[in-house]
Amino acid sequence: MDDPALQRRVVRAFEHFGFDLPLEAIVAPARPPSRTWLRVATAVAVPLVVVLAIGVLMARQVATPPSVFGSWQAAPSLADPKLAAAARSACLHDGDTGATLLIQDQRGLAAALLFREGSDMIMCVAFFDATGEVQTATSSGTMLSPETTTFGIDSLGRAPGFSPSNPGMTWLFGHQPTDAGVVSLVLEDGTKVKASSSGGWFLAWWPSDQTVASMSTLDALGNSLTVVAPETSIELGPGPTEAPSSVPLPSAGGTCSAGQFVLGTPTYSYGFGTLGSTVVFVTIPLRNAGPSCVLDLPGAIGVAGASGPFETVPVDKAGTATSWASGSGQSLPIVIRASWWVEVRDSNGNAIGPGPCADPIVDVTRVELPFASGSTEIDLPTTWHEVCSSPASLSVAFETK
Amino acid sequence: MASEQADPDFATFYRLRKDPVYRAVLLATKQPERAEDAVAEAFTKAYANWARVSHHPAPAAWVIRSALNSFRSGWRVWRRELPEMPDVAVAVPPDPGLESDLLLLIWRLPARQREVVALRLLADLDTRQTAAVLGISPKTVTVHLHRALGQLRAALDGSDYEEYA
Repeated sequence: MDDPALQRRVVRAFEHFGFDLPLEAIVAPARPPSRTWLRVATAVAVPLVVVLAIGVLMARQVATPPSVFGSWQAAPSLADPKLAAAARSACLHDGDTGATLLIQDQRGLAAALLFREGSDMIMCVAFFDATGEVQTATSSGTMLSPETTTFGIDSLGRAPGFSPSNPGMTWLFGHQPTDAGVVSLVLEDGTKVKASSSGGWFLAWWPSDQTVASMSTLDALGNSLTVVAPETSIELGPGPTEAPSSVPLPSAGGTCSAGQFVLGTPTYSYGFGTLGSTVVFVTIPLRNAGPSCVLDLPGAIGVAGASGPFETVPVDKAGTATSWASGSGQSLPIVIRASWWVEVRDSNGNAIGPGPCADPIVDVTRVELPFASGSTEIDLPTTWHEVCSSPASLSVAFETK
Repeated sequence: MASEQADPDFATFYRLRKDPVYRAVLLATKQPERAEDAVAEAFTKAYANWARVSHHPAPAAWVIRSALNSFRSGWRVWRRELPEMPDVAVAVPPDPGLESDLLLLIWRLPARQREVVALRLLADLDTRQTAAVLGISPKTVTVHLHRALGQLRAALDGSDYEEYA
């Protein structure tokens, strides 16, 4: 046998990854288990994705000297045709034979590549690792509906990092009136980035979570066009659903304002709790009625009973995406999972389950959901009988169907 | 509860094999969210066809193959459903209990070697079953596993990655 000790280490290295979908979800005849359910209901899914995300990012730093991030340049470098060819197989599915490469935004060792197939846009950041194999640092799929027809951003995405030394990356692509003018971006921290352009499209990426403050180019007549990014150019006052908070809620991060979202009617459903607990999911429909922005899941929300003040409680971020590029007009439900202890005793009279937390907030019927600026008060369609701060009994996730 | 109504053999099979199957599909595909869906769908199919699958010589291999097929056919649909979905999306410190270095090395193995490691070691399939799932010969499975372990061993021993790659 080939190195059984190493084989055991390999197996052990993966033992932290578990598949916690309950049997009930598999044998339920109604419909196949949805990804939303998986992400919200299984806490183990979170560390799983964390590690893989870290793995992808760290691989670049550990295995690629100099690092991909370290080789990044503010202006595009000469595109590597070998990387484009290799990235096609790494970024696209075998069936995407009709996908066209629109732009390759090469910056040092890595390049962002923008493919199009119909209204599908596939953005992928790729590089060659030390072994010469192509690796993808991140990728995203976007449907253009509708696409920008003037100078503007079609999609802005972000892959958050996990440490000061690895800040993740941000990318954007959009339309420009002519290829004659270079699109120059100014990030929030003042960094200037020149985008790559081709065929009326522009594309750029940078290794930080800085968003765009402004961008400029030239029109067909050579006149300068400058667009101040919506995140900073439009000041949104308090929306109709914006609520005053009796306690300061931490900002959720991102760039979205509470006032730019239209709140739909929340719904709820029961989930599968373990013996001794009850699980309820509340789905909050949100539609972005304002400009495109980055919507981050909050790390804390406010909860309150029917008439009392809001109290801030921590929430776990579930699911694989904790940050979302929310396009203008796009709907993006958020799901909050609440669980609490229900006293159950075995045949010997012993309590089953974790028991109540030390200082629960009881009979919660209202939630205050923070955004980057402002917050929205939501009347729950059901009552959460107990909410705990430690350990957190609430988790939030984006709903993706 | 529904689990009490499920076939007890399937319930036992699911309890014992869900984690190894998931780990294998995860490593083979490198797409955690799609792996979740594919494994859930494969187990659902296995349950629906349990009378037949239970007599398969390796039900776990059946589920893995089904999951990989589901993954490959579903990728396109998934992409259309998600308007914007970064792969790297969570910013939380790593679990100190994980063998992070080894995980990274495994993650960077060439695709076929990863698949063989996934099926042979994580899913605990034998060489013949692994070969059947991947559509390659048993000898090829052995070669890929040997090479994968060799690369991991060299890297863990401190060799420069370029030297053994």
